[in-house]
Amino acid sequence: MKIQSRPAVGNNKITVLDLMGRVDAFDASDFEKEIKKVLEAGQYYLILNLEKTTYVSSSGLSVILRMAKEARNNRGDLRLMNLNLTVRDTFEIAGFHRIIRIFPNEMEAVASFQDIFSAYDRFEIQKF
Amino acid sequence: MTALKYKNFNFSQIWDRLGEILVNSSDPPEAFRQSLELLHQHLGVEATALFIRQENPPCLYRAYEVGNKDYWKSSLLNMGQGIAGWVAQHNHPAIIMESPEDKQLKKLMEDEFCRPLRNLMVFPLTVNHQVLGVWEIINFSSDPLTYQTMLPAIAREISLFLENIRLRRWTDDKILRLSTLMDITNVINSTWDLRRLLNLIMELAAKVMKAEISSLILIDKNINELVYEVVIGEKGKGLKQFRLKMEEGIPGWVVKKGQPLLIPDMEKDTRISKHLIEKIDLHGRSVLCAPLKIKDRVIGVVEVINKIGGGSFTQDDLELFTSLAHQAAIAIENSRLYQKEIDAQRWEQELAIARSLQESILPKNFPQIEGYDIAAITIPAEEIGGDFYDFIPLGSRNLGMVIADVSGKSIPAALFMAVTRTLLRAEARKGVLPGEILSRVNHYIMEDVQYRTFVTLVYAVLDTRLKRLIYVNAGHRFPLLLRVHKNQPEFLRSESLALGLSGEEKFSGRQVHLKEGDLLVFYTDGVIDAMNRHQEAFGQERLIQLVQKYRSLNAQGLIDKIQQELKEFTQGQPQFDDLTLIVLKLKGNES
Repeated sequence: MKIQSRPAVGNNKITVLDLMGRVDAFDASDFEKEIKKVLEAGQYYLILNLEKTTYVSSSGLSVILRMAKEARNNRGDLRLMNLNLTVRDTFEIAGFHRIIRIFPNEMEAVASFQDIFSAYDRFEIQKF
Repeated sequence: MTALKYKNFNFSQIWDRLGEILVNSSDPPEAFRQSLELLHQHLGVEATALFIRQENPPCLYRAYEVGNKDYWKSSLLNMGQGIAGWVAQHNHPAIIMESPEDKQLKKLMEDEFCRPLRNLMVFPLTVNHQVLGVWEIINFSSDPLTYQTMLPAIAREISLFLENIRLRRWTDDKILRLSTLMDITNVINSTWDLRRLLNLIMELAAKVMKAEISSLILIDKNINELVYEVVIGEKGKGLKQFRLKMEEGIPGWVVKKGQPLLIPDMEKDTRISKHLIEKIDLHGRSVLCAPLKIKDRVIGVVEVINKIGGGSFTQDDLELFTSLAHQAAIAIENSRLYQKEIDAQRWEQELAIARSLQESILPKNFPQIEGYDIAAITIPAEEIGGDFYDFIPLGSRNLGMVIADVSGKSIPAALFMAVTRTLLRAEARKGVLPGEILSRVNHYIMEDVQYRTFVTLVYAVLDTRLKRLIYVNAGHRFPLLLRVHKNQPEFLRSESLALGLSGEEKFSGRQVHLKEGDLLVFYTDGVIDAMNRHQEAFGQERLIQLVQKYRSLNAQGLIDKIQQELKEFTQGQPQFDDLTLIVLKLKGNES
């Protein structure tokens, strides 16, 4: 597993986390550490790019869940993009697609944050 | 009062009332007392009592009795002692219609009672073939055999209540023990205190070198800075936790060069950090600084500033100080190794606890139901996850089945698993619909936000007579249903979220009717995510093909086969997730 962060294309208020490889039970705690660093740096508008992610275990899912909670508690959000079929399956079976928004590409994911940036829409984001 | 109220109850009314007392009880002793009162009044018996099994040594304790107490001798019976003891030991009910002729029976009666009885009925209270207690009824006014069919059902009801109490206690107890363990490891960690040791070393350095200030500075690798970890001496007070850039000041120079440095007169030296000068009062004095080296790696420096009483540090001082630095470096390294060792040990301990937790909650026996063939298995991964399965008997014809995968690992996962299982058992017993049960369990889980995790599971209730399965799938892998004479599987799908994700989620059950020869396979991620050397997953397709091919095997046989195929597929690659399977077959009409 490898993870890198960068500003999103077209909007540098948003941070994209490129996640590469597998996130199984062994990697989940490293994954969490990396993500905590980003949150602790005060970045709460997050897109997790799963383009090069081959597998996410349930421990990985719970890290994503905690991260989204943390972001939302700070008036931000975590959204996902570029999921391959296997990974998409994992998310949908557990019902994650209903509480975390998923986009096919970076352009749409970035555009979706407009709802947060216009403050009145903020309440539409589902609270856990 | 209550007597009048219950007097004209028929069996179904007494049954309803008993259920109400037991299900809604938050006070078990009161619930037992009320239940016995109800039975005493309704059955028209002279007395009735509940014995509860105690451990160490195993014995029976007469915890509750209602009616005439004069018959019993002692409130404690050994296993095998008296009629109650005999029933508990043999896990077999006893019905005695009149004063017995049989010598052995006579002896048993005399062991327990001080007066002769008209008649007596005694039932073992068991769950999963384990005797939890005994229910005794003395002197029916009418023929006891009238009640022969209904009393065992009541005994079962009381047994399940006993089991629930036991489960609740068990969970509380485990949680207590775990938190104590955590406390102990914290204490161990704090006694081996590196900081104290380093303080001692630097105090010694200050004394030996006759320095005004002695300090130990470590490299903070995360942000590439130098930190004053230990500072000894009045004049150095302001230096504590002071930070320098990596190549700043005298310590920076020593770290970079990896060799000691003696500055007889600091005012003539340009290497000193400006920040450092601002912090403390250092008029024109002397500094000695030596690197802390582990093998060839520099992890920090030790430094002494200003000789007490004036003068400069000497070349002799430099040599002595260098060897002292060497000692400090060894102490730091040892402590780090020791810490690592402790962490490893604690990890081992955690794993062992998590494993025993997981093992102890799995049912030891599979349900034996005529017309059905049921088997299950869980194989925990190295770093234990939180899979479990459970079978919950619900009356004489319904069976609750659970397969679940708790996210996370080690103790938190195992604890969460135990909690989920206990909640499910407690709620399932209340006899409401599966969807409602999961809604309630989810609600409890959401209340306890500290876990911050989730669990996917399938809860299914099988009506063994109607061959009807009502199930709720909460975000779990879809179980496979292979119909008799059909090869393409159906899936037990559902749109529900995993438990622990949203407090507002509504869970609703779906229903399938099963036929003889149908085959159901429940599984967790660990089965289809198992990997081989080429990073290829076992996958759902392979599982389906396997089940299709070997569907004629019995339940245990099919599980063994899947396990064997997984072993061949992974060829010794480490198992990274728990792996759990339940197979349920309806016998007959094999295809």
